[in-house]
Formats: sequence, structure tokens, C-alpha cells
Amino acid sequence: MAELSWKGLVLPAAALAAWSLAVENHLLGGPMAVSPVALLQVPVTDPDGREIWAALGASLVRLALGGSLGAVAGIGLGLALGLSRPLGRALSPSIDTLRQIALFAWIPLLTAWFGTSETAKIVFIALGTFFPLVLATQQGVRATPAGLVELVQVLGLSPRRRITALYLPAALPSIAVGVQIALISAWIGTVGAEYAIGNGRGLGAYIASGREQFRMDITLVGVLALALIGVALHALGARLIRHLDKAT
Amino acid sequence: MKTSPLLSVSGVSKSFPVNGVPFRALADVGLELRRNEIIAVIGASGCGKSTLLRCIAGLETPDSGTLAIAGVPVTTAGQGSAVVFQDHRLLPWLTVRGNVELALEPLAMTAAERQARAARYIALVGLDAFAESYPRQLSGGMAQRAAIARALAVETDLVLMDEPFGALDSILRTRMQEELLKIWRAHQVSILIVTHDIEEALYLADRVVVMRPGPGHVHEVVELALPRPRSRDTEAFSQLRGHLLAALAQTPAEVVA
Repeated sequence: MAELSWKGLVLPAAALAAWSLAVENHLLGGPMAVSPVALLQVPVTDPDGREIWAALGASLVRLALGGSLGAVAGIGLGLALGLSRPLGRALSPSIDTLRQIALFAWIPLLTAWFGTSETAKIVFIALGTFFPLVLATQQGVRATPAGLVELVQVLGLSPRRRITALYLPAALPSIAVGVQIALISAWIGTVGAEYAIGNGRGLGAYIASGREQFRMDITLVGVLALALIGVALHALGARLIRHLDKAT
Repeated sequence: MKTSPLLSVSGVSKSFPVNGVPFRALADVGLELRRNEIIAVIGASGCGKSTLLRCIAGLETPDSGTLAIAGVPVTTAGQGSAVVFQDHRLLPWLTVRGNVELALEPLAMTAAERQARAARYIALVGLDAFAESYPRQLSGGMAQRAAIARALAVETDLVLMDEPFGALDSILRTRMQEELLKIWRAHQVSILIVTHDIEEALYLADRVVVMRPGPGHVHEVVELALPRPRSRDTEAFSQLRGHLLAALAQTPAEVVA
């Protein structure tokens, strides 16, 4: 994982400068030309642009809701599949097949089932976190050292304590990697659902409405916010992994 | 009751497939362990001594024969016994104290009693200063002592040890053997220790069970009428060493001192 450093800022800064110059010197023209400085003012001064804060809030709430739902279901099922070989053999082929469906291919199905409601979006986001976490948890549980499994048998620990004292901690590093992937996939899912399903607030809807109104500035601000949140979530995941590496 | 054996094994046979071919690990093995006795099981690798221990621990189910601890047939893992494995098998995310307390969880006791008992056994193996340390912060010998504390803390009558000091250097191994005897004298436990080290067997055991492979069976049980504390350089000690070497039918060069 690349650390953030000033060197990484050179290319974006150069692009920004080139962009500014191009707009100022009318190399880029027409209604699509916005200068970076004007762009930065959009979320603060523009009445339509200010909508971004409410949109961001709505998206993050949706992300949290759909994400936790998918995480609970994913980690839960992953545990069950990892612990029970017959269950794993019975269900894994189906799950692997469903996993092959590209995330956005679920949208027609979900809108057919749930309409363009909030439920459709939440389920879509949950799916985005569910699949990476099922796999990560299952693999983590399977990789629990056999010697430690024997130990908890000999100690006579209850099934509940075997899970909480052995299998979950043993799977935690693998789950953390799954969480990092799931966070990004959930975020893409959130904005994607809002953009594709439409209807209601959110960053995706914000970008979509910017495009419909030919407001290049609003569209760009939305895309920029989307990317920044993505970077922040990735960093959050990396921190989680580092923290776990230090602890065990 | 006093005279009935704590552990009785009779007619135990066990095969498992190795590369698709059934391998007879144990054939008609029988032995008895009296209360407060130490038995050492020795034999070359492949003689089934570890499989026997795993059967007694309930980690393997014999194909035939009976295993009973205090008259109760062994049906589940860890029933009536505590196990010390060759590797310490401490949970890496728990401290020494956490690992010992975990072993006490299935026992009916309050959290305060659990803490007190864990602290007592951690002190017994001389790890009081390391109770809050994680396994990765311990040396091999310290980790193995923690594993012994964990097994003893459960206070079962029977403790099974599978080459518990095999991974330690010889100086540390000797010290651990002395400590084990000290604990044994103070706590009235019965110990079955599997080892490939003849000296260890002679130093610790009341009786030595010699096993031979092909298929694994008990070749001879040697009663050690040596008074404790034992010295490793007496005439009787070296005579018995010679006897066991012959019983194992090994050449001296193969024996790890």
C-alpha cells in the first residue's frame, strides 16, 4: 500500500495548473469550462452546489446501514461455512457463482424486486460488502491452526467460546483485509446505486442532477468528493490492518 | 477404590490410512496407570506412542479396545485429562494469564476464583512476572512452562504430556524435569509422559513402557526401583539405560542424550 506523500501530489497539482491556464486563456471554452477556483466555491456559495453536504450525509448513512448489514451477514455466513465443512461444500458453489455476477448487474434484479426504493439501494450496498466478507471470513476460519483447534477441544470449551476465543481472533487478519475490500466496494455500490437507481438524495443523485442540468462544476465537485471519500475509506481499512498486525 | 487404576487401556487398536494404505499405528495395546504414578512411554518414531496419547486424550477414537479414566470410558476430547503438547499451543492473542484462565472457563467457578487459581499456577511455574505477557514475548521454555501451568490449573487427576520438553535445549530440559517432579510431589497428579528421550524417562518415571513399531505395541514395561531424587550417573541408572536401549533395539548413536 502506497503511503500518502507530497510526491503523489505533483501530478494532480500540475494537472490543476494546466487546467487553470487552459480555462483562463480560453483554450477550453463553452459552458463546460470551469476553473478550479470556481469549482472550489461551488459547495460553499452556489445554492445548488450546497446540496452536496446533505447528499454526502445521506450517502454516508446509507453506506453505514447497507455496509453493516452486509458485514454482519457476510461474517456470519463466512463463519458458518468455515466451521462446517458439509455446509461449506453445500453452499460454497452457489455463493461462488453468485459472486461472479458483476455488482452492477444486480441493479435490474433489485429494482424489479424492490422498485426504486431505499430498500433496493441498501440491499445493493449490502451485497457489495457481503461477498468479500463471506470469502475472507471463511478463508480465515479455515486457516485456523489445527493444533489450536485440538487445544480448545481438549480444554472442553463451549461452541460459543470456541468461536469467540479461537476462530474469530484467528480469522481477524483475513477479515480485516476483507473489510478493506468491502469498504471500497460498498462505497462504489452506494454512489452507483444512487446514480443508477436515482430517486432520493445522495452523492450519486447529486452527480446525476449536475449532469442533467449541464452543470459541469457540480458534477466535478461530486466526483471529487466521491474520490476523496474512497481514499479515506481505503486509508481507514489500511489503518485497521496495521493496528491488527501490531496487536498479534 | 484406592487400588483401582486411574487410567486403564486395554486391547486398543488403531489404523489410519497413509497415502491410501491402512497403517496400523496401534495393535492390542494395554496399560494401566495407578494414582499418583508417573509413566513414561518411550519408543522409536512410528511406534504409536503419540497415537496412544491422542487416544487417551480423546483426540482419536480407537478402532477397538477400551480406554477408561477413573472407570469412565473416554468418549470426548479432554475428558478426565489435561494435555501438554510438544508445542506450547498458547493462543497468540491472549496473555499468559488469559491463556490459563481460558482453560478454567469450562469449570464451575466464579471469575474471582478463576483469577486466583490462574495466578497460583502461573506463580508455580515461575512466570508471575510474565502473567501479562503475550506468547510472542516469551522464550520457548517460558511458553512451555505457561502451557504446563494451563494443564495443571485444571486440576485433573491425569496429565498427559506429549514430548513436552522435546523442543527445549538440554540444560533447560533438565531444569524443567526437576520442576515437573517438584510439582508432581506437591500436587498428587498422575502423569503419562511420551518421550523419545531415555534419560528423561529414567529420571521421571515410576515405570517405563517400551513400545515398538510395526504395528505399534507394548514391548515391555520396566519398573524403576530407583529412589528419588535420582542421579543420572549411578550404576543402577546406567544399567537401566542399557536395558532400555536394548529393549528399543536402537544403536546408541541414534539416541538423543
